[in-house]
Formats: sequence, structure tokens, C-alpha cells
Amino acid sequence: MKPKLCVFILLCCFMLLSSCRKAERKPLIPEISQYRRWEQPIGDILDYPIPGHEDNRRRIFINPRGTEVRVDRRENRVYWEYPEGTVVVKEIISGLQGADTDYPFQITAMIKRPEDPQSRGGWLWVAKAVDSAEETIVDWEFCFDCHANANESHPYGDGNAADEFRDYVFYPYRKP
Amino acid sequence: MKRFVPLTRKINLIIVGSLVVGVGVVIAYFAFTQNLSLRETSQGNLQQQSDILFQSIKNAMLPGEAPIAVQLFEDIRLANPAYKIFLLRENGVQAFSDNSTIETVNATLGFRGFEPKEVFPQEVMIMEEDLNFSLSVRERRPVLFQESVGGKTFFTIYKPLLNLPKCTECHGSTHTVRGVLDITSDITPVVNQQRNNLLIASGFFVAVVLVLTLLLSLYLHGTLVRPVKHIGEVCATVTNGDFGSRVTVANRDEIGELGETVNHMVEGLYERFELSKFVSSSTIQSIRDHEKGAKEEMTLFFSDIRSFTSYSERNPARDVVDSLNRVLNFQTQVIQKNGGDVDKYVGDEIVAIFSGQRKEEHACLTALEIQNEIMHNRERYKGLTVGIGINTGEVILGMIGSEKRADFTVIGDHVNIASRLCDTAKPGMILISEDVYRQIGERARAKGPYHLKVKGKESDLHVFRLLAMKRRSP
Repeated sequence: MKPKLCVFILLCCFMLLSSCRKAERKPLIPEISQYRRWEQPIGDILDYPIPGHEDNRRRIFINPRGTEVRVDRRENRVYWEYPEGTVVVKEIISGLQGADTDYPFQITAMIKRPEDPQSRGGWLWVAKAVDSAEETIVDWEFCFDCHANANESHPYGDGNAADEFRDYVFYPYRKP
Repeated sequence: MKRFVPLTRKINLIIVGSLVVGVGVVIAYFAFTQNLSLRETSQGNLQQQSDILFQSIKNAMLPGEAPIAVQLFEDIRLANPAYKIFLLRENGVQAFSDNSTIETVNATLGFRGFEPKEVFPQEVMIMEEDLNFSLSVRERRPVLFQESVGGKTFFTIYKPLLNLPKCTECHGSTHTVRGVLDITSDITPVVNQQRNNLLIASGFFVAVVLVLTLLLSLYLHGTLVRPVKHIGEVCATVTNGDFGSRVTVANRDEIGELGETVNHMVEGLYERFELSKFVSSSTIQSIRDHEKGAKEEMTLFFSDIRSFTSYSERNPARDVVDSLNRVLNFQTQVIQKNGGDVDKYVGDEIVAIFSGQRKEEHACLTALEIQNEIMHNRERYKGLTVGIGINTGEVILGMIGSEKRADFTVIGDHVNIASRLCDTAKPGMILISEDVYRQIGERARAKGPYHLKVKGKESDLHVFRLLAMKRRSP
């Protein structure tokens, strides 16, 4: 066999194997220093227990893209629609009591990516353990089922008494 | 040296190997994908069923209709014994098996919203240590797994029932998982089907390989192995000197062409073999050695039938040829027996050459034996007689002739002298040169020297008439 042909075949094999290798994923949740510069839909820390986060505090941030949320009324119902690329970050801080400067042990995020096959309700649901920096895409019911309650009356925040479609966000961003 | 491995075995190995790999891969692929598809379908079905049940339970519980969900589970279990469904609490105890949940709900509501039950199921399902159950509760996600118990195989799915925000009004906000839906489906028939698929595929594989191997082996044996063996047998026969064998291959392919080529080769060999009878050994050797020409010490032997012209005029051609061949044949045998080589036949004359250390002695013994035979068997040789001349000395050997036709022969002065001695010799006479006589001297009985005038030579030659010779003791 000709040497050039051998080299070509080897190169093809190498490229094929390289393409099969699992590509390293870019982190989905931005660094703390980055997202903490974003706006907070509610200024306070949420310090009451809720299912899913139990007796832990939460602090919420929304990226600039998310502040462009569109609110429409269609067929007597109000629809909130966050643009693609919206990122809502929720810091989970241990315990219901503590200082505002306490560091989170877990960070969760909703990322608006309707085209992503792992997305549910148009959002990618991500959980990141701060210690290991490991990110998990929660593509089962857990996050999605709970946040689906945001689209109807619920016991949090303003309670969504008008039964608006809040696009799975319990505390919608309201322009100051 | 490599061990002899029959062609049949190699071909069979290739066939069986190819079939095992080729057919095996295909059948294994189909069996694997079919089993995978069966498994995925079973899992998918169970997932769908669990989703439907999950939504039913969720919706039944929201308005506080938990008993409807409980009855649904019971009905499903009764309708299909291969299908088990339970709702378990986080601690693994079957939900609605006591009033603890109702009491908790009433406490959260702050009033007696639900009446405690008085009748409970007789058998209460309690989940024992189960890692998958713990995993489902801890990570709050569905866990699907397969397990075998008592010769049966089950698919089980644990699906957590979440304490959603709208549930917190009754159940409180302190916990995330309200319970775990446990759905178990007996998939033994599916597993058996998978096993049967594999067995059928294996059986099919073995049968196909065996049948194809047999058919291909027979076909290749008939078209390849047998003709090749036949060609080999013909070649072996030819090697043993039998040029009568021919390859009979009916194939119109490379093997057939090889057979025809071998047949042509055998015919060519036969022709060359026959031709070699008419060519001297030295000529054949020179062809092998590609000799161009050389000088060598040799003894020249010339024998010529006397009065052959008048004999041929007096006798029919057939008798002439017969008698001539008889004399020449006998002389050739004696020459070859004594280590000589017939260089050529020129009409009724034989030219032979002897080489080696005792070439003169061998040539003289040959001459004496020939004369003795002819003299004592006149009848056999029809009265024909020969005169023989022998000389020794340096001659030139070479391929003499044209590109189309040539002989490897000897030329030179000594050749001419030997020829002249032969011409001079009377019937039954052997004339040898002085050089020959000097070499055999003591053991020879000869008369001479005689003086012989030779054309082209200034001085006369000294020649001897050889009468007898003592043989060396062996």
C-alpha cells in the first residue's frame, strides 16, 4: 500500500475517533462575580422554607437579556415571555438565618433555550454544586414541575392571583 | 521450514472464518438491536404508564381525593397481577395505611379538614432497604431499573411525588417529596422472548454457517482444489519421465489457463527431451553453462565405416539405414560406457571426445572394444567394418554455427589429425598418434611408429597401430 494512502487512512481514523470523544462542555452558569452584577428581581433574600430548597435561603439574579421580558395580553390572559438567552440564577444559601454575605452551597439556574433538547418549558434547568463546580442539567420533572406552578395561582410572592402565564418564573422581573 | 498445510484446509479455514465473522456480525447485530428495541419499548411503556398514573394521582390528590387514587391502585393490581403499583411515603411505608398523613394535613390546615379513616388495608407494603428507592428520594428524580426475583424479571420505576407549591397549603413547605410512586411490571415474557431470539439467532447462525461452508467447500473443491491437485499430479508424472500425461481441466478460468499452459509446457519438455537424443551432452551442458568458447586438453576419437558408399549402392535404403544405425548405435553405447561423449555423426562417421585424466586410455579401450565386437559379429553388422583414428591435444570448444543452428563442437589442428588418422586407418584398424601412444605406452601393444604424411604439415607424423591393451586392475 502506498505510504500516502496509509497516512490518509490513519488521519481519517484519528479524525473519526476524535469526533467520537465527548466534547468538554462550557459552564452554563456564569461565575459568581459575573452574575452578582446582574439585577435582582426581588431585592431581599427569600428566607422562608419552600419544597425543593427546604430550610435554605435563596437569592435571585436575572441577566440583562432577561430584563427585556415582554408582557402581552392574549385572549384575556397575560403572558410573560422571557427572550431566548435569559438566565435566572438562584443562589441557595444554607439555613434560614445568617448574614447576607454568606456564600451559597448550591447555585441553580433557568436558561431560556427553547431549541435545546434537554429543555423543558423552553428552559434549561441547571444545578451546580459550588464545592465541586459540577453542573447537572435537571431534565426530569423536579424543577420543571415545581416552577410550572408559577403559571397559576401559587403561595409565593404576589401569588399570581390573576393566573398569568409567568413563563415558569415565580418572581417576575418588573422594570423599576 | 514452514509446515505443509493442505490447500483444502486453508480454503476451509478462510470460508469458515469469513462466514463466522460475516454472518455472525450480522446476526449478532440483529439479535442485539431486536433485544434492545424490546427492552427500550418495555421501559418506554412503563415510563408512559408511570407518567399517566402520576398525573392521575396528582390531580386526584389536589382536591383532597386521595381515596380515589388509592382505589385506582387497588383496581390496577387486581386487574393485572403482573403489574404492581403503590404509593409509598419517603420512609418506605405504604401511603394511606394509617391516618398520619390526614393528621398532618389537618394540623397544617388548622382545622379538621379531613376525617380520619377507620378501615385500613390488611397488608401494608413496607419498602425494605433499597438503594434505588433511596436514590429516588434523595435526588428527587425517577429511577428505572431491572431486577430478577424468583426466576422472574421485573422492571421497576420509582417516581417521586413532589410537594408542589400548590400542595403546600395542605402538606406544608418543610419537605419536598410527598411520596414515591412504585410501579413494578413483570417483564419475564419479554426477557424470555429476548432469550429465545438469541437462541433462534444462534441456531440460525450455526445452520447457515454449516450449510454455506459445505456448499462453498464443495464448490471450491470442484473448481479450485481438485484441478490444482490434478495439475500437480500431471507435473509429478512428467517429473518421473512420463510425458504422456496431460491436464484435463474443463474450467474456463485462470485454473483452466494454467492447465493449458502446463500442457504446452509438457509438450515443450517432451520435444526438448526427444531433441536431446540428437544433441551431444557437451552441447547440452554448454547451453546450460552459456559457454562462449574455451581451450581444453581432449582426446579425439574418429570412427568411420569403410566402403560404406559401395555398400549403400548394393543394398536397399531401409537395410542401409538399419545397418548404419546398428553400427552407430553400438559404437555410441561403447563410447558412452567408457566416459566419452559423441560430439556428432557425420554420415557414417562418429566424432567423439574424451576428457579427464585417463582420456587416452578410455578412447583406446573404446576403439579396441568396437573393433573386437565388429570383427567377431560380422553377420550382425552385415559385414560392415570401421577404421578408427585417435589423437590427443589442446582443442578449441565452442558453439560453432549460426544463431539459428549451432553445435557445441571441437575444432583445431589435433581434430584434423585425428580425422586424418581415421581416414588412413584400414578396416578393423586403430591408428593412434604418438601423443596418445606416449600416454598409454607401457600397457599398450602397438605397432609402429609409421610415418604418415599429412597435408599442411611439413614433417611426417609418427603414428601407431593399436593392437591390444592391458586393462588396469579395478
